[in-house]
Amino acid sequence: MKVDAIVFLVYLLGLLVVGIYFSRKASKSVDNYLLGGRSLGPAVTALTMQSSAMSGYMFMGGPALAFQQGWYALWYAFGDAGGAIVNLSVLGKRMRRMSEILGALSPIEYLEKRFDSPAIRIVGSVISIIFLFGYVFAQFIASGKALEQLTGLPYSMALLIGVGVIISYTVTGGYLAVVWTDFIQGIIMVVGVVGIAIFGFINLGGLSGLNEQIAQVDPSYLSPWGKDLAYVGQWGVVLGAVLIYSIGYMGLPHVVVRHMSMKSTKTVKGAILYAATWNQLFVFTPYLLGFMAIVLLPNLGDPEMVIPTLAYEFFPGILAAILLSAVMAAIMSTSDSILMQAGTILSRDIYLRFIDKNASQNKMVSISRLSILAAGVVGVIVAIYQPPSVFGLVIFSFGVLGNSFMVPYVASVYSKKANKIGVLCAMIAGGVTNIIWTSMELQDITFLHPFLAGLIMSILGMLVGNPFGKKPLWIDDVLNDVKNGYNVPYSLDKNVSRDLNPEASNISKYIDSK
Amino acid sequence: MAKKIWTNEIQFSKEEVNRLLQQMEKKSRFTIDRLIYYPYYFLEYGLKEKTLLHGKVGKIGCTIDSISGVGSLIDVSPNLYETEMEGNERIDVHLTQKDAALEGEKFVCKSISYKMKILRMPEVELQKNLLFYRPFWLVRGDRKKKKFLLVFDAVTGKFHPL
Repeated sequence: MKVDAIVFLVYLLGLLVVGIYFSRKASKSVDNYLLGGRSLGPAVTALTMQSSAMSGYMFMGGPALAFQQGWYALWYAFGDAGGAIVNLSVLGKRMRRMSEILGALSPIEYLEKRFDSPAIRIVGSVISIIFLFGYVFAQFIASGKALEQLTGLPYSMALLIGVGVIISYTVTGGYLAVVWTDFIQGIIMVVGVVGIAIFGFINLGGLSGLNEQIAQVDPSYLSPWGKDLAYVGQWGVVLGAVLIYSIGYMGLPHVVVRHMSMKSTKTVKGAILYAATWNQLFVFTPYLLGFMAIVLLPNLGDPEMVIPTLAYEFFPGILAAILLSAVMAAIMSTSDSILMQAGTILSRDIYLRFIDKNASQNKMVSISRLSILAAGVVGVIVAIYQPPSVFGLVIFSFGVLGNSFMVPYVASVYSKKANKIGVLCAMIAGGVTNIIWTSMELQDITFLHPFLAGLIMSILGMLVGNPFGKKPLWIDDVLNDVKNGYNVPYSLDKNVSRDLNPEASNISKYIDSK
Repeated sequence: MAKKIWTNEIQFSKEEVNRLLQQMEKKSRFTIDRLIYYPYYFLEYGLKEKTLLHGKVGKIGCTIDSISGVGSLIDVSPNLYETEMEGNERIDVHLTQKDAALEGEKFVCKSISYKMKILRMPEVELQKNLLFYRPFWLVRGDRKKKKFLLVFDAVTGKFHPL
C-alpha cells in the first residue's frame, strides 16, 4: 500500500476518534444538548463554516478553469466575490423583511407562502433536489480523483470507495461533533492552500513574474476573453459567467433550523463577518493556483489535479498527503450535509405533504436515506460512464438553479402583479432553457451563455404567465411594509436579530390589545 | 393576580440595555420602559438507540413558542427559577401543554432528520415539559422626533423592532 494511502487512513481514523470523543463528551454532559450548537467563539466558528464551504469545486473545478482559460476564469470569481454584497444590499434587505412577515424558514417555503401556491413548492423542491444531487455528483467525482492520487488505485475503483465512504458516513455517522473535525480540517486546508500560493509566488517572482511567464507561454491567457481569445466580444457569455455565482445561490434550499440560545452570545454575528472576510480571501486563491500551473505544470494531463500536483511539487510527500486527505474529508463533510438536505426535502416536503400525510417518522427517515443511496448509485454510474468535469457539473447545477429561482425572487419583493402562474412559468422556462442550452451546446452557435439565455426566457415566462393568474389579495399592504422597512435608524437595523420576529410580532399585538 | 411562574434570570439590566443600544446608535435616546414576559414550553427529550459507534445517543432540547407554535433547538438546559408575578406583565398562553409536546416531537424529529447521520429515527422520549416565561425589555427610542419601539431579549441581548 502506498504511504499516502496509509496517511489518508490514519487521517480518517484520527477524525473519527476526535468526532467520537467530542460526541461522547457532549452526550455525557448533563446540561448540553445534541444539535443545540456550541459557543466556540467567532473565529473558530468562522473557520468551521469556511471548511464546510470548501468543496470539490474550490480544489478542482476553479483551478482547472484558470489553468485552461487563464484570466477569463476570474469572471466567475468576481461574481462569487461580489454576489453576496449585491445580494445583501439590493435584494437581501427586502427579502429578509418579506421572509419575516411570511414566517418562512427556507427559500422554497418563502416562495410558496409569498405566492400562495403549493405547486410552487413541488416544482421548486424538485428543481432543488436535482441541483443538490448534481452538485453532490461533482463532489463524488472530486473524491474519486483525490483518492486516485492518494491510493494509486484506478479511478473507477477509487470513485467507488470514495462514494461508499461518503454514503456510509452520511447514514451511519450518528452525531459526530463535526465542528471540531471541520475546524482541524479548516486549518490544514487554509495553511496548505496559502502555503502553495506563497511557494508558488516565491518561485515565479510574484504576480508580475507570474504574468510575464504566462505571457511567454501564450499571451492570450492574460486576456479577459479566454485562451486564444475564444470568447472575444461575447458579452452574453461573460455576463452569464459573472451572474451565475452572484445569484445562483439564492435557490439553495438551505433549511434554517431555528436556534434559541439560553445564554448571552454574540458568536454568530461575529462569525458571519469573519466568514465573509475568509470567503473574500479564498475566492481568488484557487484561480491563482490555476494560473501558476500554466507555467509550472505545462504538461499536466488532468487540469482538475492542479492543487494536488502543486502540493506534491512544493511539499514533502507526507504533508501533501495530509493536505489531500483534508480535501477528501472536506468533500465528505460538504457532501453529507447536501445529501441529507436533499433527502429530507424529498421525504418531508414532497412525500409527507403530498403522498402520505400519515407517514411515520421512521418511514420518512427511510425514504430520505433510500434516496441518498439511490443518488450514490446514480452518481457512481454517471461518474464512471460519462464523467463530466467538476467545473461543468457545478456550473450546470448552479445555472439551472439560478435560472429557475432568480426571477421569482426579484418579483416577490418588487412586483405587485406577479402571481403563481407567472412564477411557475418563470421557474420552468428558465430551468428548462438552461438544460437545453447546455446539453445542445447552443452557446457555440448563439454566443449566449446558458445562464443568460435561461434568464431571458425566465423573464419572458413571468410576463406571459402573469395575465393568467391572480395576485394574493394581501400583497399590496405587505409590499409597502417591505419597501419601507423598519422604522428604526440604520445602525440598529443592521444589528436586528431576525429570528426574534415571531416574538416581536406577538408582543406588538399584546401591546396593541392593552 | 399574582401567580407562581418559571422564568429566566435577567442577564441584561436596564442600564446595560441602555449602554449597549447607545453604543450602537449614538444619535438616539432610549427609555427602557418595562419587562414583558413571553411564554415558551421547554421540552427535553431523551434519544435512545444502541448504535455501533455511539451507544446511547443522548438528549435533545427545544422550546416551543406557546403563542405561534414555532420550535427552536436549544444549546443547554435553561437556568430557570420559580417566582411570583403579576398577570399584567405576562402574555397569555395559546398552546396547551399537550399540544406543545406534540409540536415539540414533530420539530425535534425534523431537526434530527436534517442534522443527524442515522438510518433509523432514534426513540424519542419526552423527559421534561415545562412552561416558562422569558423576560423581554420593551424599549422606546427617539431620534430627532422619530419614535420607535424595540423588544430586547433580557437573556441573550438580541433585539428586534416592533
